[in-house]
Amino acid sequence: MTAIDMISEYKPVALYYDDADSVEYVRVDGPSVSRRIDAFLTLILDMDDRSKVIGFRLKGFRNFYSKHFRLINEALNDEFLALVSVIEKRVTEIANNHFDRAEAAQRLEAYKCARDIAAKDSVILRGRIAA
Amino acid sequence: MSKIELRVIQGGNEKSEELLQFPQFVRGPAPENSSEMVNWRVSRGDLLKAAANLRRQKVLDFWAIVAGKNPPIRAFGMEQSGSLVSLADASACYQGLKRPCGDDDNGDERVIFILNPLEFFEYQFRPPIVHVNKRSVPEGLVFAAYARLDHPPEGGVRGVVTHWEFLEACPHEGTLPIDHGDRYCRLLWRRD
Repeated sequence: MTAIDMISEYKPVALYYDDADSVEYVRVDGPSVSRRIDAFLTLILDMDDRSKVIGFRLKGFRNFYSKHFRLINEALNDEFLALVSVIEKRVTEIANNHFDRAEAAQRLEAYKCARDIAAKDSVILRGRIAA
Repeated sequence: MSKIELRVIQGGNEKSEELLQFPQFVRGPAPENSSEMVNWRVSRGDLLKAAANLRRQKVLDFWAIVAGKNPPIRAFGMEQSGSLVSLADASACYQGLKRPCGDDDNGDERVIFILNPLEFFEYQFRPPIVHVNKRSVPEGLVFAAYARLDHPPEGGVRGVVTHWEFLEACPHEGTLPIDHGDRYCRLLWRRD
């Protein structure tokens, strides 16, 4: 790639950033602010209206993926991964393992927000993640 | 009635090569000593992936805040800024993400530089014009740049800057990110 297209319309797509080891999905190509929810999820907010969630980042993704999805994907030779299923897997972990119910409820609300975006936009991650 | 021919006068380059000519290194502080400047590589692969998928804001943030240079692009609304910061101006440095990152179970090999930029450049989608605005960073935000350490460091290069983002600031210590006491393993240094 030698030049960046500055004129075409941005089409949201989930990207795995290898060096950051995270999957990122944003609806808008513009200024944003990251809000850490926990070790796995960060919500991405519109910089000028931080009540508006415009995307999410799933961190430590390779580790999580290899623990929960690698074998299934290899078996099915699946090259698509719906991020809804990843978020739901994490929600189950939190619900099963969390002892502080109030804190869990707050985190789950943020996960619901990310899940809703992933479901509404049918967000998929293309290609395999090297585990 | 004769037809009037309308022609668009472009505000700048539709495709920019210069914007992808990332520097090989950026100068930044050493993790163990804020006054020692060292070289950091840049995660070129991830930046190119962002660029290929039209994440232009991420590329502009790299230029204006990590590299501390005016983005090399001719665009409508583009004004040069004389008050950019760079990695070298980090106000604090932490180590450890407290979460898995790649092959690193606890993110211990990651350092986090906190910056306090005053200005940045905003990409605006306004076809057919290439539009980039210089603007002030809203109050209550800081900027974090993350780097992975090389082991062992070679030739004066300490590691690779992997990604960056704006974060909400701590309400009590506005130059640091919110929850700074909990989100990283340890504070390495801080400039007051």
